[in-house]
Amino acid sequence: MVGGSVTDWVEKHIDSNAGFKLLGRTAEDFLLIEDRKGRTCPVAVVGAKPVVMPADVAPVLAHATKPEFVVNIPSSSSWSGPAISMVHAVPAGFGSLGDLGRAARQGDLSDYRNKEFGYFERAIGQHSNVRQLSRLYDAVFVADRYSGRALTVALIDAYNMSAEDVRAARAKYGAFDVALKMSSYGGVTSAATQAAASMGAEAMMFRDLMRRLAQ
Amino acid sequence: MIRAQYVAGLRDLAADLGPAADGSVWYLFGSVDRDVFNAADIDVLILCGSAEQADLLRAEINADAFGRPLDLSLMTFAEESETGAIAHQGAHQIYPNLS
Repeated sequence: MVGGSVTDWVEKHIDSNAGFKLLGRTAEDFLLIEDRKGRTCPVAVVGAKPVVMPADVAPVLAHATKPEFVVNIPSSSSWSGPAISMVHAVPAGFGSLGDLGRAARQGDLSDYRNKEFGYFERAIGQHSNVRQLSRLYDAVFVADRYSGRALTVALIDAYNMSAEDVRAARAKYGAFDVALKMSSYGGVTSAATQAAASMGAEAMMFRDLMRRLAQ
Repeated sequence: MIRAQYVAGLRDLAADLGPAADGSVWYLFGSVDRDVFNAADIDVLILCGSAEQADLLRAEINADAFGRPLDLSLMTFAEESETGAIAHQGAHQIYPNLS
Protein backbone atom coordinates (compact mmCIF):
# COMPACT_ATOMS: atom_id res chain seq x y z
CA MET A 1 0.00 0.00 0.00
CA VAL A 2 3.05 2.21 -0.44
CA GLY A 3 2.36 5.71 -1.76
CA GLY A 4 -1.42 5.83 -1.47
CA SER A 5 -4.48 5.07 0.59
CA VAL A 6 -6.29 1.75 0.72
CA THR A 7 -9.12 3.44 -1.20
CA ASP A 8 -6.64 4.31 -3.96
CA TRP A 9 -5.49 0.69 -3.98
CA VAL A 10 -9.01 -0.68 -4.36
CA GLU A 11 -9.82 1.89 -7.05
CA LYS A 12 -6.75 0.81 -8.98
CA HIS A 13 -7.71 -2.86 -8.80
CA ILE A 14 -11.31 -2.51 -9.98
CA ASP A 15 -10.89 -3.41 -13.64
CA SER A 16 -13.19 -4.17 -16.54
CA ASN A 17 -13.46 -7.77 -15.32
CA ALA A 18 -14.65 -6.87 -11.84
CA GLY A 19 -18.29 -7.43 -12.73
CA PHE A 20 -19.29 -3.95 -11.60
CA LYS A 21 -18.48 -0.40 -12.62
CA LEU A 22 -16.57 2.24 -10.67
CA LEU A 23 -18.29 5.62 -11.03
CA GLY A 24 -16.17 7.88 -8.82
CA ARG A 25 -15.81 9.02 -5.22
CA THR A 26 -17.91 10.93 -2.71
CA ALA A 27 -16.83 13.82 -0.51
CA GLU A 28 -16.43 11.26 2.30
CA ASP A 29 -13.90 9.40 0.12
CA PHE A 30 -16.32 6.51 -0.43
CA LEU A 31 -16.08 4.77 -3.78
CA LEU A 32 -19.22 4.94 -5.87
CA ILE A 33 -19.91 1.73 -7.75
CA GLU A 34 -22.76 0.63 -9.97
CA ASP A 35 -24.22 -2.73 -8.98
CA ARG A 36 -25.91 -5.32 -11.21
CA LYS A 37 -29.24 -3.53 -10.93
CA GLY A 38 -27.73 -0.23 -12.07
CA ARG A 39 -27.90 1.34 -8.61
CA THR A 40 -25.16 3.70 -7.46
CA CYS A 41 -23.77 2.47 -4.13
CA PRO A 42 -21.25 4.10 -1.74
CA VAL A 43 -18.48 1.77 -0.58
CA ALA A 44 -16.08 2.56 2.26
CA VAL A 45 -12.57 1.13 2.37
CA VAL A 46 -10.61 0.54 5.58
CA GLY A 47 -7.11 -0.83 6.04
CA ALA A 48 -7.06 -2.74 9.32
CA LYS A 49 -4.77 -5.65 10.14
CA PRO A 50 -4.65 -8.25 11.51
CA VAL A 51 -8.17 -7.68 12.90
CA VAL A 52 -10.88 -5.19 11.96
CA MET A 53 -12.07 -3.67 15.23
CA PRO A 54 -14.98 -1.28 15.95
CA ALA A 55 -12.52 1.67 16.06
CA ASP A 56 -11.52 0.88 12.47
CA VAL A 57 -15.04 1.08 11.06
CA ALA A 58 -16.49 3.80 13.34
CA PRO A 59 -15.01 6.72 11.34
CA VAL A 60 -16.49 5.61 8.01
CA LEU A 61 -19.86 4.93 9.64
CA ALA A 62 -19.96 8.34 11.36
CA HIS A 63 -20.77 10.34 8.22
CA ALA A 64 -24.31 11.43 7.39
CA THR A 65 -23.98 9.48 4.15
CA LYS A 66 -23.66 5.82 5.07
CA PRO A 67 -21.73 3.26 3.04
CA GLU A 68 -23.65 0.24 1.75
CA PHE A 69 -20.55 -1.92 1.99
CA VAL A 70 -17.26 -1.79 3.90
CA VAL A 71 -14.20 -3.39 2.28
CA ASN A 72 -11.09 -4.15 4.31
CA ILE A 73 -7.63 -4.45 2.81
CA PRO A 74 -5.73 -6.74 3.31
CA SER A 75 -8.17 -9.54 2.64
CA SER A 76 -6.28 -11.80 5.07
CA SER A 77 -7.44 -9.73 8.06
CA SER A 78 -10.21 -11.11 10.22
CA TRP A 79 -13.24 -9.12 11.29
CA SER A 80 -14.11 -8.94 14.98
CA GLY A 81 -17.69 -9.75 15.95
CA PRO A 82 -18.38 -6.23 17.36
CA ALA A 83 -17.11 -4.59 14.13
CA ILE A 84 -19.39 -6.86 12.11
CA SER A 85 -22.36 -5.93 14.33
CA MET A 86 -21.66 -2.22 13.81
CA VAL A 87 -21.54 -2.58 10.02
CA HIS A 88 -24.64 -4.77 9.87
CA ALA A 89 -26.55 -2.25 12.02
CA VAL A 90 -26.15 0.50 9.35
CA PRO A 91 -27.21 -1.73 7.44
CA ALA A 92 -24.19 -2.52 5.27
CA GLY A 93 -22.31 -5.53 4.04
CA PHE A 94 -18.64 -6.22 4.75
CA GLY A 95 -15.74 -8.25 3.45
CA SER A 96 -12.87 -8.38 0.99
CA LEU A 97 -12.70 -7.01 -2.52
CA GLY A 98 -13.86 -10.47 -3.64
CA ASP A 99 -16.91 -10.18 -1.38
CA LEU A 100 -17.66 -6.75 -2.87
CA GLY A 101 -17.68 -8.34 -6.33
CA ARG A 102 -20.04 -11.07 -5.16
CA ALA A 103 -22.29 -8.51 -3.46
CA ALA A 104 -22.42 -6.27 -6.55
CA ARG A 105 -23.36 -9.19 -8.76
CA GLN A 106 -26.00 -10.23 -6.24
CA GLY A 107 -27.39 -6.70 -6.53
CA ASP A 108 -27.84 -5.69 -2.90
CA LEU A 109 -24.67 -4.53 -1.16
CA SER A 110 -26.20 -3.49 2.16
CA ASP A 111 -27.92 -6.85 2.57
CA TYR A 112 -24.90 -8.93 1.54
CA ARG A 113 -24.10 -11.73 3.96
CA ASN A 114 -21.75 -14.62 3.42
CA LYS A 115 -24.33 -17.34 2.80
CA GLU A 116 -22.18 -20.14 4.17
CA PHE A 117 -21.39 -18.36 7.43
CA GLY A 118 -25.11 -17.59 7.76
CA TYR A 119 -26.00 -21.24 7.29
CA PHE A 120 -23.64 -22.43 10.02
CA GLU A 121 -24.62 -19.58 12.35
CA ARG A 122 -28.27 -20.62 12.09
CA ALA A 123 -27.58 -24.35 12.33
CA ILE A 124 -25.34 -24.08 15.40
CA GLY A 125 -27.57 -21.47 17.04
CA GLN A 126 -30.65 -23.66 16.59
CA HIS A 127 -29.07 -26.77 18.13
CA SER A 128 -31.18 -27.91 21.10
CA ASN A 129 -28.17 -27.83 23.46
CA VAL A 130 -27.04 -24.33 22.45
CA ARG A 131 -28.27 -21.58 24.75
CA GLN A 132 -26.60 -18.67 23.00
CA LEU A 133 -24.33 -18.19 20.01
CA SER A 134 -21.96 -15.25 19.72
CA ARG A 135 -19.63 -14.24 16.93
CA LEU A 136 -16.03 -13.77 17.99
CA TYR A 137 -14.69 -13.19 14.46
CA ASP A 138 -16.12 -13.45 10.97
CA ALA A 139 -15.44 -17.20 10.93
CA VAL A 140 -15.42 -18.00 14.66
CA PHE A 141 -18.47 -18.58 16.84
CA VAL A 142 -18.80 -19.37 20.53
CA ALA A 143 -21.64 -21.71 21.42
CA ASP A 144 -22.74 -21.45 25.06
CA ARG A 145 -24.45 -24.72 25.89
CA TYR A 146 -27.07 -25.80 28.43
CA SER A 147 -25.05 -28.91 29.12
CA GLY A 148 -21.26 -28.86 28.83
CA ARG A 149 -18.85 -25.98 28.58
CA ALA A 150 -18.91 -23.40 25.79
CA LEU A 151 -17.38 -24.51 22.48
CA THR A 152 -15.44 -22.18 20.19
CA VAL A 153 -15.92 -23.21 16.58
CA ALA A 154 -13.67 -21.98 13.74
CA LEU A 155 -15.15 -22.34 10.26
CA ILE A 156 -12.62 -23.49 7.68
CA ASP A 157 -13.47 -22.76 4.06
CA ALA A 158 -11.64 -25.66 2.41
CA TYR A 159 -12.73 -28.44 0.09
CA ASN A 160 -10.19 -30.75 1.71
CA MET A 161 -9.12 -29.52 5.14
CA SER A 162 -5.36 -29.85 5.54
CA ALA A 163 -3.10 -29.54 8.56
CA GLU A 164 -2.01 -26.14 7.26
CA ASP A 165 -5.63 -24.97 7.21
CA VAL A 166 -5.88 -25.85 10.90
CA ARG A 167 -2.57 -24.19 11.80
CA ALA A 168 -3.45 -21.07 9.78
CA ALA A 169 -6.80 -20.77 11.57
CA ARG A 170 -5.04 -21.10 14.95
CA ALA A 171 -2.56 -18.39 13.99
CA LYS A 172 -5.31 -16.10 12.71
CA TYR A 173 -8.00 -16.56 15.36
CA GLY A 174 -6.28 -17.97 18.42
CA ALA A 175 -7.45 -21.03 20.35
CA PHE A 176 -10.60 -22.91 19.34
CA ASP A 177 -12.20 -26.20 20.27
CA VAL A 178 -13.44 -27.25 16.85
CA ALA A 179 -12.08 -26.68 13.34
CA LEU A 180 -15.19 -27.17 11.22
CA LYS A 181 -14.84 -27.92 7.52
CA MET A 182 -17.57 -25.89 5.85
CA SER A 183 -17.90 -27.83 2.62
CA SER A 184 -19.87 -31.05 2.80
CA TYR A 185 -17.71 -32.37 -0.04
CA GLY A 186 -14.12 -33.53 0.26
CA GLY A 187 -12.67 -34.54 3.61
CA VAL A 188 -10.38 -33.87 6.54
CA THR A 189 -6.83 -35.20 6.19
CA SER A 190 -5.33 -37.34 8.93
CA ALA A 191 -2.62 -34.69 9.36
CA ALA A 192 -5.34 -32.07 9.92
CA THR A 193 -6.90 -34.28 12.59
CA GLN A 194 -3.49 -34.66 14.25
CA ALA A 195 -2.74 -30.93 13.98
CA ALA A 196 -6.03 -30.10 15.70
CA ALA A 197 -5.41 -32.71 18.42
CA SER A 198 -1.95 -31.25 19.07
CA MET A 199 -3.68 -27.93 19.94
CA GLY A 200 -6.28 -29.59 22.13
CA ALA A 201 -8.96 -29.19 19.44
CA GLU A 202 -10.89 -31.40 17.05
CA ALA A 203 -11.18 -31.21 13.26
CA MET A 204 -14.54 -32.30 11.91
CA MET A 205 -17.31 -32.08 9.35
CA PHE A 206 -20.72 -30.53 10.01
CA ARG A 207 -22.50 -33.81 10.79
CA ASP A 208 -19.92 -34.51 13.51
CA LEU A 209 -20.36 -31.03 14.97
CA MET A 210 -24.06 -31.60 15.55
CA ARG A 211 -23.17 -34.66 17.63
CA ARG A 212 -20.34 -32.83 19.41
CA LEU A 213 -22.62 -29.96 20.45
CA ALA A 214 -24.90 -32.47 22.19
CA GLN A 215 -22.08 -34.03 24.25
CA MET B 1 -9.10 -14.26 -21.04
CA ILE B 2 -8.30 -13.67 -17.39
CA ARG B 3 -6.89 -17.18 -16.88
CA ALA B 4 -3.77 -16.59 -18.97
CA GLN B 5 -3.12 -13.31 -17.16
CA TYR B 6 -3.32 -14.87 -13.70
CA VAL B 7 -1.37 -17.99 -14.66
CA ALA B 8 1.49 -15.77 -15.83
CA GLY B 9 1.31 -13.74 -12.64
CA LEU B 10 1.24 -16.80 -10.40
CA ARG B 11 4.23 -18.33 -12.18
CA ASP B 12 6.15 -15.10 -11.65
CA LEU B 13 5.11 -15.09 -8.00
CA ALA B 14 6.28 -18.69 -7.48
CA ALA B 15 9.59 -17.96 -9.16
CA ASP B 16 10.07 -14.76 -7.12
CA LEU B 17 9.63 -16.73 -3.90
CA GLY B 18 12.91 -18.52 -4.64
CA PRO B 19 13.93 -21.36 -2.30
CA ALA B 20 10.68 -21.07 -0.31
CA ALA B 21 8.82 -22.50 -3.31
CA ASP B 22 11.40 -25.13 -4.27
CA GLY B 23 9.75 -28.48 -4.92
CA SER B 24 6.22 -27.14 -4.50
CA VAL B 25 3.66 -27.70 -7.24
CA TRP B 26 0.96 -25.11 -7.90
CA TYR B 27 -2.50 -25.76 -9.33
CA LEU B 28 -5.31 -23.46 -10.39
CA PHE B 29 -8.96 -24.41 -9.95
CA GLY B 30 -12.35 -22.77 -9.66
CA SER B 31 -13.75 -19.84 -11.59
CA VAL B 32 -10.46 -18.30 -12.75
CA ASP B 33 -9.34 -21.70 -14.05
CA ARG B 34 -12.63 -21.81 -15.98
CA ASP B 35 -11.87 -18.32 -17.30
CA VAL B 36 -14.97 -16.76 -15.74
CA PHE B 37 -14.35 -13.06 -16.43
CA ASN B 38 -15.81 -11.71 -13.18
CA ALA B 39 -14.37 -14.35 -10.81
CA ALA B 40 -14.43 -13.03 -7.24
CA ASP B 41 -11.17 -14.67 -6.16
CA ILE B 42 -8.33 -16.85 -7.39
CA ASP B 43 -8.36 -20.46 -6.12
CA VAL B 44 -4.87 -21.93 -5.90
CA LEU B 45 -3.84 -25.33 -4.53
CA ILE B 46 -0.17 -25.64 -3.58
CA LEU B 47 1.34 -29.03 -2.79
CA CYS B 48 4.32 -28.80 -0.45
CA GLY B 49 7.16 -31.09 0.53
CA SER B 50 6.63 -30.51 4.25
CA ALA B 51 4.43 -28.84 6.82
CA GLU B 52 7.16 -26.25 7.31
CA GLN B 53 7.11 -25.33 3.64
CA ALA B 54 3.31 -24.98 3.72
CA ASP B 55 3.53 -22.62 6.69
CA LEU B 56 6.33 -20.64 5.06
CA LEU B 57 4.41 -20.19 1.80
CA ARG B 58 1.30 -19.06 3.70
CA ALA B 59 3.41 -16.41 5.40
CA GLU B 60 5.28 -15.34 2.26
CA ILE B 61 2.45 -15.09 -0.25
CA ASN B 62 0.57 -11.80 -0.36
CA ALA B 63 -3.08 -12.77 -0.78
CA ASP B 64 -3.77 -9.38 -2.37
CA ALA B 65 -0.97 -9.50 -4.90
CA PHE B 66 -3.39 -9.60 -7.83
CA GLY B 67 -6.24 -7.35 -6.79
CA ARG B 68 -8.65 -10.26 -6.57
CA PRO B 69 -7.93 -12.13 -3.32
CA LEU B 70 -5.86 -15.31 -3.61
CA ASP B 71 -7.74 -18.17 -1.94
CA LEU B 72 -4.91 -20.53 -1.00
CA SER B 73 -5.15 -24.24 -0.20
CA LEU B 74 -1.82 -25.54 1.07
CA MET B 75 -1.22 -29.21 1.77
CA THR B 76 1.57 -31.75 1.64
CA PHE B 77 1.93 -34.26 -1.19
CA ALA B 78 0.98 -36.97 1.32
CA GLU B 79 -2.29 -35.19 2.14
CA GLU B 80 -3.08 -34.87 -1.56
CA SER B 81 -2.49 -38.60 -2.01
CA GLU B 82 -4.88 -39.25 0.86
CA THR B 83 -7.67 -36.98 -0.41
CA GLY B 84 -7.27 -36.89 -4.19
CA ALA B 85 -7.64 -33.10 -3.98
CA ILE B 86 -6.33 -32.43 -7.50
CA ALA B 87 -8.96 -34.63 -9.12
CA HIS B 88 -11.78 -33.62 -6.76
CA GLN B 89 -11.21 -29.94 -7.36
CA GLY B 90 -10.57 -30.30 -11.09
CA ALA B 91 -7.27 -28.50 -10.60
CA HIS B 92 -4.72 -27.88 -13.34
CA GLN B 93 -0.98 -27.59 -12.76
CA ILE B 94 0.45 -24.18 -13.53
CA TYR B 95 3.85 -24.32 -11.77
CA PRO B 96 6.29 -25.70 -12.63
CA ASN B 97 5.10 -25.07 -16.16
CA LEU B 98 4.41 -28.37 -17.95
CA SER B 99 4.55 -26.95 -21.48
